[in-house]
Amino acid sequence: MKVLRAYRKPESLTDVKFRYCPGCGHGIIARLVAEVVDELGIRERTVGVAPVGCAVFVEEYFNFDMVGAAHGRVCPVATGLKRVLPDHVILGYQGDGGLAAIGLAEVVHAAARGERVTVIYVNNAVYGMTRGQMAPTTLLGQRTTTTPSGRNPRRDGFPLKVCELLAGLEGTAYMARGTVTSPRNVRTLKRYIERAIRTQMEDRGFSLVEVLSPCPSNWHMKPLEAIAWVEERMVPFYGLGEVKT
Amino acid sequence: MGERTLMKGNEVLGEAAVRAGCRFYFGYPITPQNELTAYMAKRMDEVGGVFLQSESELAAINMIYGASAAGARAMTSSSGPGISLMQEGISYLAGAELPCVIVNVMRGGPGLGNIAPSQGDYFQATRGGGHGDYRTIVLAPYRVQEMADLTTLAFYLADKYRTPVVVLVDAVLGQMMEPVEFKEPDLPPLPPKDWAVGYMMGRPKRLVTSLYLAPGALERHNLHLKEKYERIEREEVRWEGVCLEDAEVVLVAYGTSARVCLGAVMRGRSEGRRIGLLRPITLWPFPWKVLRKVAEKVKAILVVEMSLGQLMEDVRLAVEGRCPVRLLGRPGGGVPTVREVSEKVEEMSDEGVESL
Amino acid sequence: MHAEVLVAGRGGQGVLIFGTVLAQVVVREGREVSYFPSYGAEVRGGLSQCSVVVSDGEIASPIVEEPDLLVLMDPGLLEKFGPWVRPGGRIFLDGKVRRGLEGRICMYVRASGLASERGVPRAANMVMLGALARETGIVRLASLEEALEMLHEGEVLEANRKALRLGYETGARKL
Repeated sequence: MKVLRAYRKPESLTDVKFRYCPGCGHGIIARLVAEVVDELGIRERTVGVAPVGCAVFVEEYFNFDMVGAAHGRVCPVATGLKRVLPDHVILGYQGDGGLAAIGLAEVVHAAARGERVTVIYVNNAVYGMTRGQMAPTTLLGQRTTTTPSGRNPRRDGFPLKVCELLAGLEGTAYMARGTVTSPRNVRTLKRYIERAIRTQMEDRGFSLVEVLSPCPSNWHMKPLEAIAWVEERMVPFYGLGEVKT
Repeated sequence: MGERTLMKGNEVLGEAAVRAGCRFYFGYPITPQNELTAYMAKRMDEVGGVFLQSESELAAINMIYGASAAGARAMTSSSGPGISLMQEGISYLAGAELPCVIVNVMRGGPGLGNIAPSQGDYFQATRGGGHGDYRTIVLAPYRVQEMADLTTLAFYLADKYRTPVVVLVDAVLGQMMEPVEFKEPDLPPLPPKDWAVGYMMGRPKRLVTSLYLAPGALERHNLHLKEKYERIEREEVRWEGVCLEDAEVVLVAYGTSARVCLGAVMRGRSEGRRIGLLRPITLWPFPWKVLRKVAEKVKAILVVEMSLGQLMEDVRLAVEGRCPVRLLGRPGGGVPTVREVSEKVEEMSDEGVESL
Repeated sequence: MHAEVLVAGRGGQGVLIFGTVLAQVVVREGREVSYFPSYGAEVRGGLSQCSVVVSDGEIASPIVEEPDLLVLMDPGLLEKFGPWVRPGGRIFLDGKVRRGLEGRICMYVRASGLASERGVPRAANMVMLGALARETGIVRLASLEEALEMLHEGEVLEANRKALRLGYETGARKL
């Protein structure tokens, strides 16, 4: 009898087991990135940059060369790498705290320079590893440990839409926002990731894929509730689709 | 022998870096080191290297981090306020054991201070500067020629020990011109960078990081760093002595202050005073041992610095009470004069050792 | 030989060029030299000064505190810088002053006047440098001309060379 293996670990993932919380979106996103790197046949000439926060774990999970950067400094580190290794694919992986708060200047300028790097940007509307504080992407009214009565625009300002912010810059070549809430959305997201990396390989400019991702632990929800919250709250506000191609 | 050319200190730092094989420069404008940035912009074009004007010093040092992780010789330069912003990155570079060269052309502080010469960043440079338990090698030239020689050495030591190296100069050195000759360095070969990322070609993945979360891992890593720092302290201490043999009063100074002190030694000796100079060339590792020996046979030490007792703190730690240590400190843009130093030495001699 | 030279003037009077050319010449002559300009936050205007130390041996401080030679492109600066000069030192002035300075020798060089008359008004600093070379022997005329050839070309070179020779031929007059 012939055994068909429908599921196989991508070569671009190491044997280290994921330690993400149950229902976290990071596991799916990391796997998608690994699959795309495998399929494009670029594993041996890809260097990933991991930051601080829950996004740091990919430093161990990705089975290609990795560099661990300071909080928010993924883009300058990726810039340094790309300038030395112009024939390599440089992949940044950042959360919303690192990219949209402390590292916003860095991502704006990398994008404005049209730096030939790709950033996977995980937006879960909250700081994950530090246990659920308000992020620049936290929705209005959303309760976090630092907005116990909900995000108040008078006090806390408004959430940042990074794709739209960067899309106006001439240096950006590809911007898309996807999510991981359904098999169909996962397939679409994978297509975005592939297009973003291809954009870099074709030397077209800066590319970024934002992923609306559930964080059940810090949202204090069950995984399915968290998925529903992404669909019902985040998607209507942020929107899905390719923002710039 | 090469040709002697008249060059500005800041530009010499750049030329020496290019000759040392540095092909990646990332930096942000700040006075009084702007000539270096401009020079690198021009030279990197000529030699096919990369010059990138970053959006901030924060970005610059992290670009260095990336370039160095990929195995390249990389350099950045700035002055006090910018170097403060770089401390985060320097800590990460030290933690991830990445080599690089950081030039600090010191200006007056704290805060925005002014753009005049200063040596006020001594603590910042010699104590690591950022968070965590680490050191950086600190080289302090006092002539334009030495700025060239020590920049060459800085890249070598950075690679040899996988550590950031700071070239610490004051704005006088950055702005002045002197004849310089770029010598072919005669340095032993370095090991291959078998830790750098890129070009996997069948080998297992490499990870460059300063994160050690597993229980005990960071302690092991820091002990490994300590072992490295101890090796540097054993092997890389550099200093220069002038007229130390019979000196009764010894001046301790680096950079431009040491040039002024050299003038005071020349003047003092011509008047029959037994005065000498000990000039640390490496501020870290500090020349503890020689200073201790000197302290045993002199009547007093005078520390001359363009700051208020930062160098003196190290001198006192080295001397451990063996002789009196006095300070002539000029902060915030003042440069000590030969006359000031000479007068202070006379005053110390006249006071007599007992009262010191 | 060891000479500490301080050059001062107003922005635009060519003080820094004066110092740079002098330093270049010393290097060409195979001797030791240091040049240190004062610098400020402003790009234009204000006081301009530089220190040049010329020596056959090792140079200690590059900052001239007690000049052997003071060159003032603006004689109005005599009161400020004059007292710095070592007793017995010489002061070269582009213009006459009513009173000299006790213990120092004041030398008058009609630099701006000559330069304007000969159609090279912007090269007064080179007239001054020529006169300084003539009176002090700090550098040779031939090496000065060689240095100019390295720095300039075409009309600018000609104007500077003319000014330099003018200064060298005319020299200075003791006040």
